[in-house]
Amino acid sequence: MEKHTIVIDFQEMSIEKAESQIYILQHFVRKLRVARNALLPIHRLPPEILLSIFSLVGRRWEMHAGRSMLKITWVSHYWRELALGSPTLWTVITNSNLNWAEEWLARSGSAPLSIGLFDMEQQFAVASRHQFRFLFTHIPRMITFHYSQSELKDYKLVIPKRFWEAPALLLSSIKLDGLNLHGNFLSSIPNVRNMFLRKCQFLWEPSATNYPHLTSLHISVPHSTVSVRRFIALLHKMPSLQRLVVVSVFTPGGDYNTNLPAPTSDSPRLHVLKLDLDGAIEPALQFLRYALSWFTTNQTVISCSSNLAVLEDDHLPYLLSSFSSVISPKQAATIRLTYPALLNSFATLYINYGDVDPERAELGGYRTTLEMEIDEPQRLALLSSLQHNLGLTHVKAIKFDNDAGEFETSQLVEVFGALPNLQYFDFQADHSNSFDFLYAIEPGEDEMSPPLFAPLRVLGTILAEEVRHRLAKVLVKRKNLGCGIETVILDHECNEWDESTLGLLYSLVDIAQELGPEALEVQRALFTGAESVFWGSDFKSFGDD
Amino acid sequence: MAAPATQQIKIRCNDEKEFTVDRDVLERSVLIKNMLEDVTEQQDAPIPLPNVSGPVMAKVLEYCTHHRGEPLPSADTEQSQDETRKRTTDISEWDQKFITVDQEMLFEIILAANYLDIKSLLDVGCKTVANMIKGKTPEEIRKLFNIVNDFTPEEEAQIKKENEWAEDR
Repeated sequence: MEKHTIVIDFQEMSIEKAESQIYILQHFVRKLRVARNALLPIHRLPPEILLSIFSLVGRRWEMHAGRSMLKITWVSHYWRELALGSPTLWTVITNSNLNWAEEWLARSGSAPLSIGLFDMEQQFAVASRHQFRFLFTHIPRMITFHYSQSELKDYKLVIPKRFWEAPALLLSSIKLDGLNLHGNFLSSIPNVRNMFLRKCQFLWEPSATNYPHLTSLHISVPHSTVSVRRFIALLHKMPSLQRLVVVSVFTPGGDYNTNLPAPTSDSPRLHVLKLDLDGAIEPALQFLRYALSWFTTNQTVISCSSNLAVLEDDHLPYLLSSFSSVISPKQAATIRLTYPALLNSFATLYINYGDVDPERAELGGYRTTLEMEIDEPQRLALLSSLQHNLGLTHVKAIKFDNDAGEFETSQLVEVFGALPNLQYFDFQADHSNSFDFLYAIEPGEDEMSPPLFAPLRVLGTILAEEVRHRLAKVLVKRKNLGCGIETVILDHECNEWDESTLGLLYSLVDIAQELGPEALEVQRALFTGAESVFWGSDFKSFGDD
Repeated sequence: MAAPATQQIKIRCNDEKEFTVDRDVLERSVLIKNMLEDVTEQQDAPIPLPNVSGPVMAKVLEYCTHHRGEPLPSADTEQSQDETRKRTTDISEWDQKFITVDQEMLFEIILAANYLDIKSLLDVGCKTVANMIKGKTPEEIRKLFNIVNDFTPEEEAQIKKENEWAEDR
């Protein structure tokens, strides 16, 4: 251990001597401060953990991430040394630190770079062009480049055409959104592994370029379409391709029964194929048939917007025969359509209807399952038709929206009453009669038959004042029948804490106090608007307050 | 047939405090899991944990008990979690309540999670500290952790410059 003794002779003092002594003392005071800081509890954490905390503070895509990282280096000598000595902390350039890109690039040393810029309000004026050019002098160490903007813009204004300089296997991902790429842009990026092109414009010229490393291609380019034949020829240049997402790519017209070239040994073997049927339907169907007979996909997702008027009568048998001839039990297909006739034909497939909630992923698999949003009587009729035609037994998640109060209670009782496996029932219902049917299809307290939704895992959402007592009754009934609800979600603009919401809350509290939260089996009530969660055991204490 | 009883394991902390815990709870710790896998015969002697004190271990066990049965992060999920961690500092409600402790204990929990190799607990601890730092000025951060300004005059000058160009741009 260093030991220091300082002797100050005040008798023989001069200005020079005093200044020299002050300097020495200041030096020692600083050293003492460093030594003191080293003893603090936070500095018991090893450097790698402190660095991990720093990287969380400067979360890469957060608005103030850049400034947060700078502040870290202004706290103490140790923090500054640690942060500046860690190039990986400085490898992400986003909107938040673009203005300080030169500093970041210098601090990142030779570590691989990730760049993600989002020009939603056209904020990158021409003045930014030199910044982009500077960024691209570092392309040999770029692993991801994401650029997105709201309006189609000439890429030459922002991105130098230098992707070909990126070393093979280093450039992991290019994501471009809203750029006019000019010419055959694809031929300039042979080394990328994941490519995402959306709302871009470019020419599909024949090219000798191969893409030996490309494993994932997501392409959605309504401004720039291609024939199926040419697109397939391009795919043959991507032998490693495993995931293909195609949206609005094909040139309209053409005979979709035309024979296409047979697959060769160079043809990729896809694991995931996602095809959106919006846009030019004939070539999309033609490509689908080809792809289904060609690829061994583990997951095929056919999606389409709700406006599928373009699907004419003769398209349907074509699409169905494409599937029925090639789908094996191991090929799970997810169909996200709103076209009843199509749904009726996929009894053996996994049908997913509506947006997928990751938490509900367990509902997937290779069985017939259905998630569906019911927001108009036609949808209810479709659900009824599906139940009838497909014998659905695994309708597990229903999002119900009756804001307009269009549904007849008797009709709802009939349809929902036949869904024994429903686990998620998400209410979007402000109208007072919305809840009546739920109460009606739940057996009365005096009945011995089990509750319909058993066990109901989620019950949501909006409950008008008139229905809150009914909910309370259903909860009591469920308790009496030995069947609870795991989660109740009340999403009624709870920030306002209006009487209706509070009334419902107190109803729940009353029930919990009377019966005990465990008995009620309401494990938690989630007030999404208020960002507060009252756990079952908290009901009582809330009531006491 | 009755279900087999859960095996109970004894551990001893550096302050001689001992705990007897269900094996599946302890196996949230990769370190202990590996130790148990290496021992083929039933062993009565407690597993020594020289880097963890009794009070800290009690907190760690509270966490492990709450999260028992949840899948441990595999090599596959680790990568995606790593990516997620970079993007989010969200902490679940229970974890937030659990980690609301004084600074001394917070850092001890992080150290214990690191030593015992309990990745999810380490994540919760790091996110908590990150959330404490976020949005604060350097002076506020110093105050929070009782750090004193120990920059050299040269560093001070450099920071002043950085402050200026950060304000300018």
